[in-house]
Amino acid sequence: MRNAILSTLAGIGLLSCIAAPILFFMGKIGETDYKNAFLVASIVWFLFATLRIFGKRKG
Amino acid sequence: MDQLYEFDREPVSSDKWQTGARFAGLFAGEHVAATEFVIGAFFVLHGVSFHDLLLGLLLGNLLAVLSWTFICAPIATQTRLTLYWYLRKIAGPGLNFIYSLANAFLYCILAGAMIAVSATALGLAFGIAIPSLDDVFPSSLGWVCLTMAIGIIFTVLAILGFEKLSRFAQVCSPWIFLLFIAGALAVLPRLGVHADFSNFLSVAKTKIWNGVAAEGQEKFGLAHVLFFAWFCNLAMHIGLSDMALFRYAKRWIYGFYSAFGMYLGHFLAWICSGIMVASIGREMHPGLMAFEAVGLAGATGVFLAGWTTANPTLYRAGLALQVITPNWPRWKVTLSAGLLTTALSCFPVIFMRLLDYVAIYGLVLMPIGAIVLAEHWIFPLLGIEQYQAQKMKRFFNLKAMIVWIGTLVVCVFMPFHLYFRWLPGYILALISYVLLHIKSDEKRSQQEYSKEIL
Repeated sequence: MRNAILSTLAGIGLLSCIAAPILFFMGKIGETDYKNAFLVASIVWFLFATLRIFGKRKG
Repeated sequence: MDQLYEFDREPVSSDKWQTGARFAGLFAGEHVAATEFVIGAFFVLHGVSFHDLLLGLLLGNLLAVLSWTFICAPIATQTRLTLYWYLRKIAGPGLNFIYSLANAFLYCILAGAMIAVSATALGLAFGIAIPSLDDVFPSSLGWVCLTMAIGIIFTVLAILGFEKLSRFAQVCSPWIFLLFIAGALAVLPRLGVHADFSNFLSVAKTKIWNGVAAEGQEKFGLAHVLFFAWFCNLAMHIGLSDMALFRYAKRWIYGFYSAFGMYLGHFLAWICSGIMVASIGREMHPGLMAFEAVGLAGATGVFLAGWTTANPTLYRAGLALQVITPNWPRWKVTLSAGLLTTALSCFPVIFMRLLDYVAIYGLVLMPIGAIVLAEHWIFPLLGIEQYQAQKMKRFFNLKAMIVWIGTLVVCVFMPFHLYFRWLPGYILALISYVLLHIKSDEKRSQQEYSKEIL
């Protein structure tokens, strides 16, 4: 259950990483917003993916 | 990685064989590396045209996949041994020693290039200028201090927690791939591409891969791109280093999974870094390129890509050194490899001439691949006795050494571009190794016949 939640959250982070430049390319958001969104999405990915990978080995 | 080298002197047992999905993931992760930021960008600087790039990468990567599938994987799945151990049977421990030493040194140079790529990202924060394209020696004290500091940190971290770093690399790998895609996508408007992609082809042909080489750079065509994509991992497929991976494959056909690394890393990522470098006025500066395209996350990505790919390269260099220094503990071997790597990373030539280095790296180790291939496949067909060095307890297979050095000498004097020399060199090594054995077998038969008559 814990792994499923972490995987979902990490997946959302990764999807947001690709969504941000697509929205910028389409002109829906500005450059600063895109870069900030990418940064936040990256932090989300790293946080949850790291917890998932390092947690899995312990369990 | 530790698991990969678990069976270092014996065939991998069938209960340890891995599924195809594992190989797909492994290749996809390993071939989206820090060097991809440099290689794709260099194609733009070398004035490759859009058509030549696409066709060259499609065909060259296909040839690389076929080399893994039909040359490396079958030998690995039949022997279930690492190249080091199989080569020992073929060439004797003496030549294996020299091969390991050469391999370790070449790995250290590669890891040094990755440290230099990371340094371009960290240098942005400290305002350290990166060397120019034609620099051979360090151009500033700042660059030396930066690469030294990064090299030492990477080495210490590799010693303290290689396994944890490998797991962290699994986290980084898909994100770094997305970083390439995001960066390329984000700079397209700056290059003038419309949101509906309608003018992408015209921008690609005129502003990115416009066929005009940057000042001081050699002009590349289709053959250069095709051969580069093929030999980029020459030491791994034709050179058989990846026997270490494929000895865990259930079937040789798993070689086709290398396509995940080739077409995601050596196709898409190279195209993306080409787009990014065009957006910063064709300046060879991976850190700046990613920072301009993706912001702080981009520069961090370049740094992480250098770190996570230098780490396994350091480990591999350490493994090669371990053949030479069997009684040393792991930390000592990694420290030695790390210090050598750190010293090499200061020299901008290894990063600014990365394409040439990759060609030389493959070329140097290629004859060993030919020797093993001849011994494994051609000898049984021609009725030549295999593994003579092992059977006769020879420390040194002189014929293999002659072929290795002789091929390299001939390659040095070949009258064509560095990128095209390995293929005739490979054929030469293959034929000469077989001929030398046929000659010596004939001589031995004659001697035995003379003894019988007497």
